Amino acid sequence: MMTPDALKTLIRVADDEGIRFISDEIYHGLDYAVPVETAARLSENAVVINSFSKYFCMTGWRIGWMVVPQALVRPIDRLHGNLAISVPTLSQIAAEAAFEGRAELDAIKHGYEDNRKILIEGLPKAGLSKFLPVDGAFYLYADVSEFSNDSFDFAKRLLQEAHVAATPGCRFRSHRRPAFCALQLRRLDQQI
Amino acid sequence: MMLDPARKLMTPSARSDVPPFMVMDVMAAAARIEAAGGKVIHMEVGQPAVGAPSPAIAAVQAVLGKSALGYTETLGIPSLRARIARHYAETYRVPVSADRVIVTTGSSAGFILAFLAMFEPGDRVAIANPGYPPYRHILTALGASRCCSRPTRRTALPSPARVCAPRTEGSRLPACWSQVRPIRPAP
Repeated sequence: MMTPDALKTLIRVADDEGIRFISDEIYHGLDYAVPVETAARLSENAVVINSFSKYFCMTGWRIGWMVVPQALVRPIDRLHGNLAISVPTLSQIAAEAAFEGRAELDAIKHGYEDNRKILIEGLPKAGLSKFLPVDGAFYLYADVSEFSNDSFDFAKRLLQEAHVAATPGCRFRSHRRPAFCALQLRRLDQQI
Repeated sequence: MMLDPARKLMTPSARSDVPPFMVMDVMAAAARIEAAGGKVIHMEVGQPAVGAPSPAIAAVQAVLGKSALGYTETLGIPSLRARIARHYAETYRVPVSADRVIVTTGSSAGFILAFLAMFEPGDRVAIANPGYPPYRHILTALGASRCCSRPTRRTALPSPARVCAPRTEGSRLPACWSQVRPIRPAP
């Protein structure tokens, strides 16, 4: 996850250089280690994208939101009207009420925190000691390059031989580039 | 040029030739093992363990069968847009006007709308690596070229020269974790 200072610098550079900036904040609310900052505070030019799928646990309702510069509101209104007319009404009604469920949602977040601890402590014992900072969301990106330079192949063998389903990070057969596998923090308590 | 009408009807567009969302393939492989009686520890899908919070369910139950549930305003129900704007005031202490909030069909639709509203075909876009693969695939389908950045620790900062210099995939670009950084070519 980016620190607030890193995000601030990046956005300043983007604004100065005429680079458009999109901030994917879908995992906000599921942070465990560093303070979270929104690009909405840092620049009115930034586009923020967020969702009710993760913290709000509404994956299948297919509902999210954007915060956009004023100049993009009408263009997106025109695009969206043509592409989709509107967002499912039932999901919008549910989403508005979901803000009243913060206590339940925070309890679920604490479960992810427990699973995160299990993985951070357990993976090195299983031989996976290098991973990117597990600051937020419910994934852990582990460097598997000690075992394979192809994360697809590694994920396939992990599933076939150990019956652990993980997602390959990227498919570069390069010795310079670490191969990553994404492991997620859900339901670990029941499984490990 | 002569076109073979039958062939034209059956040939998908070049832009549709994007990779599948790989996690779904892993899920299918795991399901095959389970169908054969095996036990699988699932760590592949990024989805919460439980469903929507109870106030959301109650709100839906209150309207089902009582409302026609017609279309809404394209940008979203005004009270929901206002509630999201209030979320910024409450959570981040930052004022966001409700008329800058747009409700979308998940973040997936948000990305499509953002890319369509912000980029032209051929624009260069930098994205984090490792990152969410559909960023790349949506951009491919929309005709924007992309460049990847390397994984870094959270403290790494990019410099403007490194961000803006022409790069090819695999060359050194600074990463920004879970951010998408669109780059426009210098005029």
